[in-house]
Amino acid sequence: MPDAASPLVRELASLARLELSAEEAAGFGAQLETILGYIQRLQSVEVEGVPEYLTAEQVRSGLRDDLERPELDAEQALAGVPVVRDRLVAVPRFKD
Amino acid sequence: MGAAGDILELSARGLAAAIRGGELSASEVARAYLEQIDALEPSLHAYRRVTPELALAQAAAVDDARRAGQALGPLAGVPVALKDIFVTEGVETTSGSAILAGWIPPYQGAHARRLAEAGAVLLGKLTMDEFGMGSANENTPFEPVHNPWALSHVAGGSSGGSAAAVAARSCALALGSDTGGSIRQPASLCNLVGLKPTYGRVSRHGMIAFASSLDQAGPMAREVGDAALALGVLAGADPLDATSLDAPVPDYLAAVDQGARGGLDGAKIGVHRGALELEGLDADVRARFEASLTRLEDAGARVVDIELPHFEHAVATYYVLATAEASSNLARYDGVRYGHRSAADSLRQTYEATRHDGFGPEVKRRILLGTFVLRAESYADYYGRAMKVRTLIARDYARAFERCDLIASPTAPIPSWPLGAKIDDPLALYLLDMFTIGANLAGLPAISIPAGFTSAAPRLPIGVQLIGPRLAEPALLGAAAAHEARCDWHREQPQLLEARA
Repeated sequence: MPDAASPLVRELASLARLELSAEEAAGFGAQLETILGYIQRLQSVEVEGVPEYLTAEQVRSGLRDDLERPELDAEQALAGVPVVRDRLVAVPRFKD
Repeated sequence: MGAAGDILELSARGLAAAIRGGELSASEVARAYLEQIDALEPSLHAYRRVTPELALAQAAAVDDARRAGQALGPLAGVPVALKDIFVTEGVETTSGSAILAGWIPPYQGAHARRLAEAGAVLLGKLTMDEFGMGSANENTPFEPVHNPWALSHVAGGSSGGSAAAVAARSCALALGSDTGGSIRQPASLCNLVGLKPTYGRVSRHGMIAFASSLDQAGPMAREVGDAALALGVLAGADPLDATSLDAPVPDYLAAVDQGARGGLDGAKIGVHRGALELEGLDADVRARFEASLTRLEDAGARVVDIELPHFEHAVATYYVLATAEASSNLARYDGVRYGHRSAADSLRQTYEATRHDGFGPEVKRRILLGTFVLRAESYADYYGRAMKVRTLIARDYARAFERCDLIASPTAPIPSWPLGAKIDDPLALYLLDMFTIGANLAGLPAISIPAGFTSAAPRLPIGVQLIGPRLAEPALLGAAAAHEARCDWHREQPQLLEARA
């Protein structure tokens, strides 16, 4: 099957570390075009001098005290890891 | 008392009182609900996982505590269920995704912990759209949930399992989460009360993240008083969530009782009439909305016109910001530390294959969109601009609340629709969020309440939404209770249940 996906969808999928089949990529390309067409309407809003949104929580929030507290032990933390070797998280090679 | 049907018809508040008073045991209540789940699940698919052993053990503990004369929590013996977005220690938690299938959390999230401390009995975990992304519960690798009011129809989303379970009396109370309407819209489609609290009112610790600046947990219930009871348990600061609010937790039940008895005493309800003229608003929904305004006026409220000048930009703003946050939050699912891993030769291929195999189409679509709006070339024009429009939307609400106490609108522009009818048109589904998204963008509390049914068959529920200023949950609950005191829809049950009784 020829790759009908736009270079944009391929680029986004690569940035997002997301493998897509040729069929998926073509379908998403068409849908993204429609959705981005709709989102274009924001370009018409006058935003000169308007600050980006900041929640009251962001204004208020500070640092917590740096205190020790009970956390998971190694067995608990490793229990959900897909592949464990010698009590370490195992992954395939990442360097040639 | 004791007949199963009677137990299932009691409100959560009524059940808590009956158990505290010794008229019912928590164990017999738990058994009645577990039987109901067994009977209805084959047609509903509201539960991802039922936890009968845990429920019966928790119920027995409540009964033991009562016999020993110990103080009981506010939800002691009340059977609840959690949307599968809430991390529950020792109970599989998937957030509706194959990428987390089989994951058993090693810690308890704030919601499961607070409910347990209040004495609630956990019946299980409820189905949802994958990671909370959807309006119909069809974005799922598991079974889609069916609406108890019409089994061929959607229950809404993303908290569709929560809505179906409460409506079908398969739990007394459920928790949902709401990023753009995911508590309120399914509540509206299933004849329930659904409350999205002020951003930060309820901790997000242990609620699997979709869009962190918008996500908020809240109750879904048959009656306003039940939602108030649950909010009182859930609300409050949490040192494990820096965005949780350190504000006093008022007596929400007192606000409900005052609203139900005393009415609204001149409260001003604002209506943005322009929103009602937009394309796509169903005629029945509009008629039920107008009737609810009259009901609020009967309770002593005054309806005033307001303007929300950027209302029409809310959906576009939301789908830029929510997808941006989702693409960042979902980067953690890479097959390394938890969940599914697809076998591959290199680490990069492991990431790519795991995410290809583990995520469904809507999640992939939103990751791609979020990646687009955040990439260097488009950041200023999309993400940065949407953050500014979000400021304008929040300012619109602040100005409107100078003229009124609460804002009313329909919850969803249409009632439920047949399963499968809209799944191929993502933009059309996004536009259904137009009334609910504003409250998330501005961090405001909002509630959906039952407002009647469609005029033609199938008879489908319709909801009305009230939005309040920050931390105005008491005013919202009071107005909702005043409305509820003047109608009987919350007492109606789906035909499915009448057939069973």
